[in-house]
Amino acid sequence: MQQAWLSLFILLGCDVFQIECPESSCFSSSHKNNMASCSCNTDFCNANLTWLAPLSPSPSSWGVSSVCALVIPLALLLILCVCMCLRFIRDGVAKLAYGRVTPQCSCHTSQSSDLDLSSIELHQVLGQGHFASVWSGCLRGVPVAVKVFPASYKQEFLREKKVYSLALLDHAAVVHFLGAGSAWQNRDHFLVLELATHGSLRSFLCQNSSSWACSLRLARSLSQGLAFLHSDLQRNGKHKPSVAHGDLSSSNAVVRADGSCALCDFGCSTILYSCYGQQHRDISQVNTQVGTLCYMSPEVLEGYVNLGNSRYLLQGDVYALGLLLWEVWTRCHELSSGGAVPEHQLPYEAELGVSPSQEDLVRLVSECRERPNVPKQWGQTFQGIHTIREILEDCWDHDPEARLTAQCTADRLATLLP
Amino acid sequence: MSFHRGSACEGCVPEESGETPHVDSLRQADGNPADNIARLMRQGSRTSRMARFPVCIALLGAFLFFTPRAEGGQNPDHMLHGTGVKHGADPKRPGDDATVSPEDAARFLSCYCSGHCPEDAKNNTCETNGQCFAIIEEDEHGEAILTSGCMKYEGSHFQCKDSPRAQTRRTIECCQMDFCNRDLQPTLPPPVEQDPYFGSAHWLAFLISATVCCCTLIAITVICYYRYKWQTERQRYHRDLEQDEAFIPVGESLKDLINQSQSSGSGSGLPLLVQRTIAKQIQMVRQIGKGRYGEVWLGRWRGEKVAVKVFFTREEASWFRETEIYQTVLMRHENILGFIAADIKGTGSFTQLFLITDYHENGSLYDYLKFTTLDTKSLLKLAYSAACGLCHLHTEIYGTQGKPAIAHRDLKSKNILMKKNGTCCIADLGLAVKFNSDTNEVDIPLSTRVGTKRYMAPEVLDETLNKNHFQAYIMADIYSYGLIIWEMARRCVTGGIVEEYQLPYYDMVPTDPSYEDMREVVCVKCLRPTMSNRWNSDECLRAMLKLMSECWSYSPASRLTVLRVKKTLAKMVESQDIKI
Repeated sequence: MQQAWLSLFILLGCDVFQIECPESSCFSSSHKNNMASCSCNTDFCNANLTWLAPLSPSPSSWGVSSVCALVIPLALLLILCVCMCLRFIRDGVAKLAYGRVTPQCSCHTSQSSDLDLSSIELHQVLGQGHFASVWSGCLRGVPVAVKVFPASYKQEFLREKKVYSLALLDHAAVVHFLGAGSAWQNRDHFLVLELATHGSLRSFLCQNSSSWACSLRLARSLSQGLAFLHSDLQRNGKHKPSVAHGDLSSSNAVVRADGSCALCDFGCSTILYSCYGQQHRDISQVNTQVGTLCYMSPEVLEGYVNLGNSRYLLQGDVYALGLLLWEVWTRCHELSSGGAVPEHQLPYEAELGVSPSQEDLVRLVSECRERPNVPKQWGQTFQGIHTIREILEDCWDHDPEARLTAQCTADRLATLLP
Repeated sequence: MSFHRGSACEGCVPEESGETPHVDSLRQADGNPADNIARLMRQGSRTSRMARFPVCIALLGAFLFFTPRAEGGQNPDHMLHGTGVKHGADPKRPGDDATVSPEDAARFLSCYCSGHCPEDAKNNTCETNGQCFAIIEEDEHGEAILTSGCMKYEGSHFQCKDSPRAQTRRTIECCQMDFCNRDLQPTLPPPVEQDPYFGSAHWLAFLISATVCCCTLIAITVICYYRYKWQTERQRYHRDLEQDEAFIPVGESLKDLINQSQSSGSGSGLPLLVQRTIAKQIQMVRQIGKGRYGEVWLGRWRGEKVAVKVFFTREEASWFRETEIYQTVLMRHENILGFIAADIKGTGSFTQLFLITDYHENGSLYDYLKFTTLDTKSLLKLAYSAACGLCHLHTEIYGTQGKPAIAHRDLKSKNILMKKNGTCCIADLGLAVKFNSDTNEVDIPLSTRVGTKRYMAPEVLDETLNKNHFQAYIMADIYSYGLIIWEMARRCVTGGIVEEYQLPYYDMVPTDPSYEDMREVVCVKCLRPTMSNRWNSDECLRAMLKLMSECWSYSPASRLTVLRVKKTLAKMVESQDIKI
């Protein structure tokens, strides 16, 4: 409106020298640069001025056009972007639905401070292994087992310590880890473990024959321990990768006072970090033939395992578990009905003697596909004998793929009545 | 506006010959410099854009100045105390007082002049009734020139309030004291850039328009190019096809062809050209099935019956996957649906995706079980054959021409086809996942398709399945297999009793269950399909019951492997003394 005012004012200064105006009133509708002009040449003609306000206010017209010029391409651009985004999202969702990665590389370890050997009283040597000797001792008044590694076996010590310090590795059927440390100018290393009253499973079986309930308890705890070790757990934001024991044998399990077993000796164990879903491990560890010879699975004995797939380690453990269960059950009263309970024997001891050579084992186990003898007269009167046979046969199946999983073994054992 | 200013000034400056000599002489005396300035300003501002605010104020001021005259018609107001040219005085109309002004007032002001001196100036001095002025302006070479002179009264108020937005850079300053303009030091206004608001908006708009247009053009070009390429590719494909017309010798049957291709050693299906030729020569007979993926037709090739699976175009990924899996080496197995050919047929506007396989007239296991009952022998045979097929899929065969491990991911009774001899074969590999332990990578299809919810394992339903761990898919397949042998076992007659055919969880979830329904039943309540008491009384069914419950256990880790299932079934077959 002000524009009109101003223009009006300008018009009052009519050009007196122009004489074209025929009207006595000043009339104009032309406007340029926001000005309107008219001219007249009669007295006071510029007083009766008629002002026709422009229909469309010119000042905003440039705005409309440039707004259009701005808005239309922007809208186009926006539509284009939205379309692309939608497409991307759709594709992305499709990809996400299948490509979701749960990084499970993190291998949480529970930190434990090093123990000082001086706080432990060592009493006596309990056993001597390949790498280490085991002592009984006392830590703050609690009897403990101390596994002492000489300096030359630091690698084994570190490997075992790494397994023990995995997070969530706290299970009834795995030996409780109390601490680790080094002594004598860091030359010797030691692990402090729970002391099991009955010692190793082998010595327990050698000394005692057991009832069905007792042997079932041993068997269950063994299978549960192995199933736990093999499991890939995720709890409370912590992750436990699956661990292959690698050296499961009756001397690497201990029997507690309550008659349950606990797995120990993880010196040959492999932690199967499942990075991006794929289990992988140190490729440097290519020596597949670790562990006790007579507990080695046929494929490991022959050495035809697929190193790219770590499942063979787990399947080998299950084979050894089968042998262990057999050992346990050979010392069971109820099963050996009628006759006396036979002496404890290692697997294949009857066939090949106490320390068989690898060639003999390969021939017997892999080529002849022989397995420890399950006597026909075993538990003829016994209810669960069918299941027991099935478990043993399925555990030590020649085909690694056809073996049960440790968890399945545990489940089957759970169905047996004590 | 500038035009107006000009005209206002002109209106104030009598130039016509009809003026009084007195006026004329006045004009002679001091009109010229003022006129010069007026002209200058006119030139300067004619083309300039609207000068907004300051000029408005100036105009408002001028308005206030003029209004009383316009209304009252005369009375020189207090500002008009000097003499000046009588503007607007028309001698022909003596009664008109509108422009009465102090035109004959004496020239009382002496000014210093340079550059704008009138002819009668002496000593660079001019006289005026208006004001003295000094002007600094920029000439065409960009140099500042300072000039000064006299401005006559008329219009001097306008001229002294010059537009700062004039085209040429200039500043005028005026004063009303004798020779006062000698002390005036006008400075040039800062260079006027193009109106930033006005100019930049247009410029930006232009820029954006241009960019968008360019982008669109490029996009369209690219799309057109690819479309063109795609079409030529197709044309070439069809040309190829026509050339292959006589590729397959007359009299060869499918069996011959497949045997030939297998004896050549690849075992990965027929050569591509043969496949295309077969696909082109197939007559569609009738539709035999329909699903979410597409349709299944009975086709005929040289008198032999084949099944033609026609995929919907949106299921292209599924077609691609299935073809890819079937082309895998060593895939041919009696318990996996026999693959013959795959082909794409483009009919201008849409594409048809074909998959040509063996035809089994008994249809799917689902159809078969609905209308047929089994005995223990046939149950074991059926379950064993399905396990064999699954085992072949799951097993990785090592070697340079090895077979990757494959997980089916959509195992269900509708995806298992019944053969005539009482065995079955696994079909529909559109969702399969491949795994090669050499590269250690899980090859997951890109399609958005998911398996059948009813047969989904608990870890799939609650999304805890590790999607990058191949073993997890294998375990999920075993779960589905467990449900399938449940379906079979229900139809096994023992002691004259048999249950009617039902889908798994038929009594726990509605038809077409949602994820939520299934999760509720399978994961939360941990329910599994119900079994009748008669199963426990039969040895075979009891064993099957144990088998299936070990297959569908909640934890994938405690499920059996398919090889274990196969071996157990084989043992059962052995104990039943059945020949397979």
